[in-house]
Amino acid sequence: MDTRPVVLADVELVTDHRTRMFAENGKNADDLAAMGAPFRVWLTSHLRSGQYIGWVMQEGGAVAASGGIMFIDWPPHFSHPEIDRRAYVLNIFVEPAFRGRGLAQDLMKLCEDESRARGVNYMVLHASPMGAPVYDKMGWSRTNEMALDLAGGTIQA
Amino acid sequence: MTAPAPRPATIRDLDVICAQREAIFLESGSSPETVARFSEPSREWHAERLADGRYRGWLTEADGEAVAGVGLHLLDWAPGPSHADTDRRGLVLNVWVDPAHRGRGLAKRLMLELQAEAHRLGVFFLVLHATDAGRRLYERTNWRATNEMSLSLTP
Repeated sequence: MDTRPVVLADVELVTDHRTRMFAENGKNADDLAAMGAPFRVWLTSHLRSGQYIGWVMQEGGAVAASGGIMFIDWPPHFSHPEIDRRAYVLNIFVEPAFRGRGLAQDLMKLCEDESRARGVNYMVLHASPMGAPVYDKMGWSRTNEMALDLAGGTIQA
Repeated sequence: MTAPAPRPATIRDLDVICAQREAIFLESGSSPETVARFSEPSREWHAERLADGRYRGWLTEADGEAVAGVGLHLLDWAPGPSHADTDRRGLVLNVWVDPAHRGRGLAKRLMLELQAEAHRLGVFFLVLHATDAGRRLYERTNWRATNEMSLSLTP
């Protein structure tokens, strides 16, 4: 298995993985269709500026998995008293043919190492039902986050 | 009795906002030593963002003293199914009501002010981290628990 960083040429690949990740998780197809174009714009600018860091895992010519992190501006508090950022893990997706081989864990390790290397000690993510057991096993735990959608959408627990 | 109208916070309210923030953590079980560790970095963070407008706060006053407050900080976020058309979500923070003024709807009034501003900014998806005491109150106004998870890295 080869691992390489996500580059600008991967915008379609990452968008595809993000869309399928959410679709498998039961998200509304119309919302996902609406997300495509704005997400490509966001990802392109964040790859250019280095604010999105991701990895693609490949075997031979076949893409097996990808995922990434971004850093979010957050006021220092007890979980990160001297640091004003959190690392946010997103877009973790393993192609169905490559599941059950621990690739999601490998991606998570890359995320942790990158975060540590940047001095960011507190990481967050939103877990799909499929992802949650993997994260549990790696020491992650549920937070007390709550959300409100002023546009009336439902919140995934 | 109706809750008094909140006013927007400015950089001059930095001390009050920081004091309210520390009171929240102390009340929810952080030790004074723990709070002291992030006190100064947190103050700098709020000062910068109050000054340039990235942090928006509201305070409620009684007899010339701030007795309650809330804050809104916009997070740069990848467009997703919860907010396809915008690359921001709103972080609600520093929600505080002095114990002597609780039960009068001050937090609710402040939150309505904050939500109106978020709406005006085109930011419809809001998140916060709730204390055990706060959770029930938020649920009553349609906030719901999310599937967020976290990990503290060991050095």
